[in-house]
Amino acid sequence: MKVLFAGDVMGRSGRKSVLKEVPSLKKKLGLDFIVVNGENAAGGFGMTEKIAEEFFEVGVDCITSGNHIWGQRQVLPYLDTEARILRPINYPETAPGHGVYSVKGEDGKWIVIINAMGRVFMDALDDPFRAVDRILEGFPLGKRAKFIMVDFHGEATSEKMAMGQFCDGRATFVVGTHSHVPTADAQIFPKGTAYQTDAGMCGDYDSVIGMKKEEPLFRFLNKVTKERFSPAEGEATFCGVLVDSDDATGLAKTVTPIRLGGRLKPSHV
Amino acid sequence: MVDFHGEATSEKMAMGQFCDGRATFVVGTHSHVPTADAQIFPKGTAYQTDAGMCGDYDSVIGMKKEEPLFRFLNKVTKERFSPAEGEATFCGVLVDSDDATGLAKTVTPIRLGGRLKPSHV
Repeated sequence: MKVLFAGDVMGRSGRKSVLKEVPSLKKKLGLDFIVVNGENAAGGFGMTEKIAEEFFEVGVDCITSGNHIWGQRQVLPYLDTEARILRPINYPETAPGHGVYSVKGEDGKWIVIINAMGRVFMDALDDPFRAVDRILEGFPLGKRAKFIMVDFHGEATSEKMAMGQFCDGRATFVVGTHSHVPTADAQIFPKGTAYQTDAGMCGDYDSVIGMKKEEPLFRFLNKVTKERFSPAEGEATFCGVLVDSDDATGLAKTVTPIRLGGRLKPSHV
Repeated sequence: MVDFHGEATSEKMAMGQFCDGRATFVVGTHSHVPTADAQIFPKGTAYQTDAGMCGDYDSVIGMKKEEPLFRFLNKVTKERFSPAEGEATFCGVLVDSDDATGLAKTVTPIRLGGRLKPSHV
């Protein structure tokens, strides 16, 4: 099956690129499933129910997130009632929401989306490796599941690459988010898991990771805050990753970065 | 040229913007993963968040994967890290600049050999 993942959607400019590109990519590529990381979609911090519904309407099947999912307080009850929106699975069990979305295909095999968060240079959450492992053990790839994806939200490339290797042969696709910069290391690991350290953001790259550059620069130079961060408003580059997998084994056949629009060099199928 | 060795993409991108128009080229290192964001900023500085490593990408940022995985899973050390020994991907960035202005004309990622998809001029 063909699954598209789009990286962290950054503010209005990022949302515009998702609403524009997802329907056309779905039609052009014959996509079976679409996942978007929406944790920065609302003004750079968090999600709203309205934004989530807009994404679902254009064909998004599942929305993942990360540490910024808590940025819009009014969304918290929605996290409990909407199965298709995830927060990292290794937050305490009592936190609002959930970290896994699973849906059964017509062939009886499951599509499973897992969202987890790293701990290196991030909040000290529960162990992400064991949290992911528990889900993988419940959905043997190629038997009970035909596609398993892990969105691993983290800063350190070491931890993200370790998660990819940890899941090799047991998940279809492991992709990193959070850095807001796409990496050029898409590959299929030896046991068949597609991997890319970071999908990049859907946002304006004449910025500091998606925010207007003046305030981040002011803070780096002065170590004090002047005003709020606000998302850069130039044309976004849509940054995603396409994985084509074998339904029988659940392993990846190809992994292809997709970049469309904005400042970055295009990359597409 | 500025080689800015750092972990956080925010700090690296801020350094690129900080130097825009005053340096020819700002490139990040340290993450050991090449980024796909090569661009010339509005005032003429070439930028890439990380050049990536020249090393084996079937690894954990260049080290044999077993020990890093052991440490992430157990929070204790078993043995020393040692570099993975598969064929390396050469990861680099080529900048062509204007001698008169010192600004960048083009910026091109170069990846050759090993596991990553090639990219070259």
